[in-house]
Amino acid sequence: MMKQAWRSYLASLHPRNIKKLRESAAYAWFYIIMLFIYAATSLLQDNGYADFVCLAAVRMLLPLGLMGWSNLGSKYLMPKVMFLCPMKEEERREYVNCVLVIKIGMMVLSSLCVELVWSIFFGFRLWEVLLVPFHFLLIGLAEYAGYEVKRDEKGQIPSVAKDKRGNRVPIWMNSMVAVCALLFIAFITSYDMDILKYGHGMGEEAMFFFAGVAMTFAIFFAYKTVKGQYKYVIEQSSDYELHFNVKGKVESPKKYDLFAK
Amino acid sequence: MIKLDKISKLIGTFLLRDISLEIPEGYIIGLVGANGCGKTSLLHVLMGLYKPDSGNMELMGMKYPEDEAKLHDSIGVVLQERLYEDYMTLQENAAYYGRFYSNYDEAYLMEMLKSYDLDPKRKYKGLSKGEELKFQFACALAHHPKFLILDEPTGNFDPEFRDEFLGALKNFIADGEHTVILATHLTDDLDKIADYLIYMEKGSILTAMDIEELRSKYRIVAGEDYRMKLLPEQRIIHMEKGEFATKALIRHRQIDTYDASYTVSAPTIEEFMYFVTKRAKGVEI
Repeated sequence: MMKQAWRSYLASLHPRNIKKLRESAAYAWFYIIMLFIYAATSLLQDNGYADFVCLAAVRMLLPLGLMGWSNLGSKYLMPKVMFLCPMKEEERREYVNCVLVIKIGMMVLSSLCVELVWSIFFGFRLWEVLLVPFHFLLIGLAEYAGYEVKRDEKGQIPSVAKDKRGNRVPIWMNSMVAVCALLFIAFITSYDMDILKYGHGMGEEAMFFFAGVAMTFAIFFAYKTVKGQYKYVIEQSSDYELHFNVKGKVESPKKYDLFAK
Repeated sequence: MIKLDKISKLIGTFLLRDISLEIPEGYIIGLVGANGCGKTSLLHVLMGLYKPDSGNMELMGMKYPEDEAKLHDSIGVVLQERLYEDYMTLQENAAYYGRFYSNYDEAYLMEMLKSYDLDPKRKYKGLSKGEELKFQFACALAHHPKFLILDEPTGNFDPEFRDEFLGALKNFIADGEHTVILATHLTDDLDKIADYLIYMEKGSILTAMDIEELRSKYRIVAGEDYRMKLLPEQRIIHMEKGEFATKALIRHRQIDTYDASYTVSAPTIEEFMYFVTKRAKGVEI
């Protein structure tokens, strides 16, 4: 089934698919803002901030864009027509799992390529070349395994989706993975670009401290998000009614105990 | 053989209720009903996209979910939605999904695309609605299915292609081993080709019968208003006064004869649907 999923991915590579990225609207605005800041460099008197923001944005967003460069950028892991194709239920789950592996894998691989190019300009540091793609792995896992778990018509979370506490993962948590991972990348980028030279008062040790804190939180939130959910995403995505939310959205619980055992 | 036994399914606030059917192979089944009556939902149940909340279903001797792969290999569908990839050509789209089918026949697909005036190198996104449905139809037939499920395809076809399409359906069932279920509002098409009619209302099957049975069990009777009032009330399903005459749909028995002053005819599907829809509450069909 990995061969089928891989063939589907390769057959669907096309620049126009970038429009299918769920967050493409947000990314597009981000790039517009970055370009605006870059164009206003003269107003910022060439103190490096505009360069930093633009290059950091490229480092953060290019892998996400490159991942979406196929039909895998669609918000649906299984398009409707695939549910009509001759596949057994377990084959469909396997296919979805392969799609997820390819999606997340391509994000990580794209980031690795960006990092290798980055290292040509800013120097090769193995820990950096590995840690930045690692953060994209966290973002990918949280993004795709941190789906909002949908309840059935009786308001129950299907048992396969429950973690031991019976809670579901709120949206803010998988957003925090992205925020913390991107903060890590921002801090590392500021180190690469010697932005510290411009006298905003943060020492190298402080930069590494904040980067480390961001990385720790990213790992923590990703773990909490992914734990127990990844399997459910596969179940949900391979079930037509759940994947296309046929029964309509239901209320989600408001409380989530972050530290419950 | 299509066997549905008390299938029920709740979709949001809409309930598909106690659907029971038993239809052998070799039929073209017309599925009719007002908008929102559940035709598409029933087709989604037959396609295995919706899992019934209760009841049993068997298609061609197979059941969901254990025989899902075999069932989908034997079913071709045409739906109202855009199913395929916009940026791919028709040939690429067909090959992309066709490879999942055991009997996908690319040569046959190319032949059909040629006869439907569709260029296989054309991008899917450039197709009009009618062309898109033609393409779906070609893909549905390309893997030589046993069962075709068609959800209102004919509304967007030009008259020339519509005849070709209806001819293709007749050829499809000619060997008696294939079945078509066609949901449509264009009842003229069903009058031409359907063997069986399922009429749905508010999530249930109001009536399901052979077309010949429909034509033998009911009559449209027209005449002057005062004469129409002489008809036995218990047999009238609905009567309506028109500009020139009063018309009624009545239950007919083989022994029944009518006065020469009445104009009597077997109902078309459209007439049947019209009068059934207009009948008063509690009037049985």
